[in-house]
Amino acid sequence: MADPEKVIGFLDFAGDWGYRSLAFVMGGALLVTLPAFRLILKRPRPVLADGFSLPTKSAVDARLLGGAALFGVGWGLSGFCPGPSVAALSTGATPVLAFVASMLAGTPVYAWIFGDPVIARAFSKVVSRGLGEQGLERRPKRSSPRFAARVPGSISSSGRGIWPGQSSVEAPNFGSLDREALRSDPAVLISVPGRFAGEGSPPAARVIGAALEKRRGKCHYVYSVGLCAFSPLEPSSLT
Amino acid sequence: MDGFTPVSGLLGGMMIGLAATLMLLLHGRISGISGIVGGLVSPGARKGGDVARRVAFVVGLMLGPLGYSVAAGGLTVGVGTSLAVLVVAGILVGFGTRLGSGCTSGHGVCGIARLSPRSIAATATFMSVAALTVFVTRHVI
Repeated sequence: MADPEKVIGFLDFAGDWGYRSLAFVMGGALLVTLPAFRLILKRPRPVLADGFSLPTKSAVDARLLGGAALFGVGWGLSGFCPGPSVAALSTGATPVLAFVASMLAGTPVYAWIFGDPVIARAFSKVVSRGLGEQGLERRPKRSSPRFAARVPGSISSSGRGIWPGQSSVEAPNFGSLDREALRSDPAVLISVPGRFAGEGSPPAARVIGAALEKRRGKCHYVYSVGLCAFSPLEPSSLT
Repeated sequence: MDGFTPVSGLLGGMMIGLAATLMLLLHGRISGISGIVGGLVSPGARKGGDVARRVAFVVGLMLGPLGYSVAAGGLTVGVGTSLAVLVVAGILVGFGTRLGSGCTSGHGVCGIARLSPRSIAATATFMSVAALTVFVTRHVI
């Protein structure tokens, strides 16, 4: 399994039958685990621990299948899946190192997007420092009137950050702010909820930000990631 | 028929099965490698005993091929893809296994052994998608 050529050969159903040996690997593993797991799970507790720590999720949902699909693409492209790639690290080959490094990089990206609090806090500090002091904030559930009200300066101290421990967002001082003018200015209404796609950002980023803002909360984070690539890393200023 | 090694494949698979069985029997845990490695990189799970357990598993995982290469006189890893493709693939695997909560060891070996519908669905998905990817990259592109 640590030999990617063989793995790809195994997955190549239209190709040479010679690499089917990998079917024997999973078959061999299941030969052992199917009966063994049934027997073991009948026990009240494992030998060295207090109890079984088994995954509890039961839904077959989009995250599961989407994640599996992405993993499948990566596996098919490289012939590596997590276990064998870590095992092959002991050979010290550069391609293996490259794969494992990028695999480890993909993990925190997931944690940031889907809200691992510790990682998200660290990332948000970096991002907010680069993009202005507003930081990342949860989009309010209902639209328009609250958006218009959420101009910088009106962020109340009860503005909830997503992550535990994130203190209230300090409102940056933009000097005198004509709120009424801002409320009616469509550019502001697009840019303010986004917080990243401000005046200094390319129009494309602002439009994308506005489009994504209309969607559910999850996309907010995805768009945050995407816009990091687009927008210049400068505080956006509305004055 | 060069490269068709059913016996060593079967034996290797059974050893993997044995490892998963021991993990469940002794520690009551699923040996899902993407979870174990992922937990090392996501500091949300960084408590003392947890890190030690994960590191021990990873070290053991790396010692396997070392032991094999000592016994069998060398081990070659044939990688035919370019570095850029590997990096992209790595990111996809890292992200995808966390999103899907598991990989071939977690879902494929342990999950199917538990007859978990989630794992069966996930395994079927990544197997077919991977096969599709290989088909596209080898026969179409």
